[in-house]
Amino acid sequence: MVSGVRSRMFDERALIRLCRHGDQRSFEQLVALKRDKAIRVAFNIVGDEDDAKDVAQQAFIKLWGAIRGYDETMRFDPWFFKIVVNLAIDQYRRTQRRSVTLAGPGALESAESHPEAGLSVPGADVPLMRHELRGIFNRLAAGLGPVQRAVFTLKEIEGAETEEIASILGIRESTVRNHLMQARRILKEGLRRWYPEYAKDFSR
Amino acid sequence: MTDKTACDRFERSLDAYLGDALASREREAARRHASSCPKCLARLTLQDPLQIFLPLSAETPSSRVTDGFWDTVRAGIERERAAGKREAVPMHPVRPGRLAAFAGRGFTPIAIAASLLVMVLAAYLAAVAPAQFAPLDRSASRAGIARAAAAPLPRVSVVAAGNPLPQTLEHVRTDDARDVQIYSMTWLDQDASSGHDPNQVTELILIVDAGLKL
Repeated sequence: MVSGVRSRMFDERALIRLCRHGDQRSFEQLVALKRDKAIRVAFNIVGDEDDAKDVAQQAFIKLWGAIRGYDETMRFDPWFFKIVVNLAIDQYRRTQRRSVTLAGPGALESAESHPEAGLSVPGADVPLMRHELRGIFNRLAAGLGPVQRAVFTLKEIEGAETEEIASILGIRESTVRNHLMQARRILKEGLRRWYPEYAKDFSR
Repeated sequence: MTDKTACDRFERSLDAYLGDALASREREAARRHASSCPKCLARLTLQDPLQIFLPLSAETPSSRVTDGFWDTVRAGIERERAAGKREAVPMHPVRPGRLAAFAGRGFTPIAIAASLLVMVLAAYLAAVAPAQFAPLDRSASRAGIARAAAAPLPRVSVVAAGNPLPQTLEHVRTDDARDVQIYSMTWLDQDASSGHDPNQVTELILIVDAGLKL
């Protein structure tokens, strides 16, 4: 009996093959399969749900144009997420320029203005906690550069390997590690400063 | 497997997880467990506070974002198609900013020199090379068509508007100098009653004279 994961992978390969042959119905299924992760990755980089939706939609439109050139011997996700992440980084750069022009630097506000600050994590209901974390992450990650944000998202949230991230971003693995170190330092400082109840230990 | 077993297993692999020493499958299992188990997540964040963001990996977009998602993608595809833009996107998309930076570093003369070299090479090939690309053997044979049918995928895809069948079309000149069109239809047979493997991708190739239209 074919396991669920294996069967899903096979379905995905078959779908991709049909898409490469120009089958738009299969492409619709592929979009349904990859949509949530594409929006989530874009959201973690651009920090705005509507911008993330735009980025993901643009990525799929580009994918349709590019999928014929996809080499089926390569893993699909890193190849596709290269498009998503690069579009998201470009979008984030545009947004940063806009926000610096309109509001000036200094995205982090005081803890008093965050009503969710002070809620504890252990034992909390996970979906509710996720909602709070989303707000905290968006505020703290506003202090990161676009590539730092992409690296942190891919490594710590999506669980991608360093080698894969280097390939997606077109940079060296050592550069990925540097960006990750800087991103972690900035986020830890933000967490300690604005949400100390989440930051019990800074020995690492 | 009970939750307690999963928690015990997570606790045993905690140090290896934090040290990035787990194999990718075990690492993914640990991530999945911690992102949905508040107790183990709390245990993890005591060691590394930034793991607090792990549950974001299981976040799903709101219906406000997903509603009409495909319609917009499809409209974008139609726009691109109307503009004749179905070309490949490079694996490492070059951003305009990077190109400008490249030109700004004094690389323009190199680009001009490279262009000149390409033009000279093209002129040389136009004058000398045709003999090396002479027409194929004109001896008529069915093997010529068979060879054309064996041309490697992918072929040029043409999907007629409103036509549910994907059609792949390629124009080939066979060994016996006949112009033929190769149509390929590919589908996923998910009808269990047909007795076929439900995941089997089937491809039908039709070869016809170039003048004939399907």
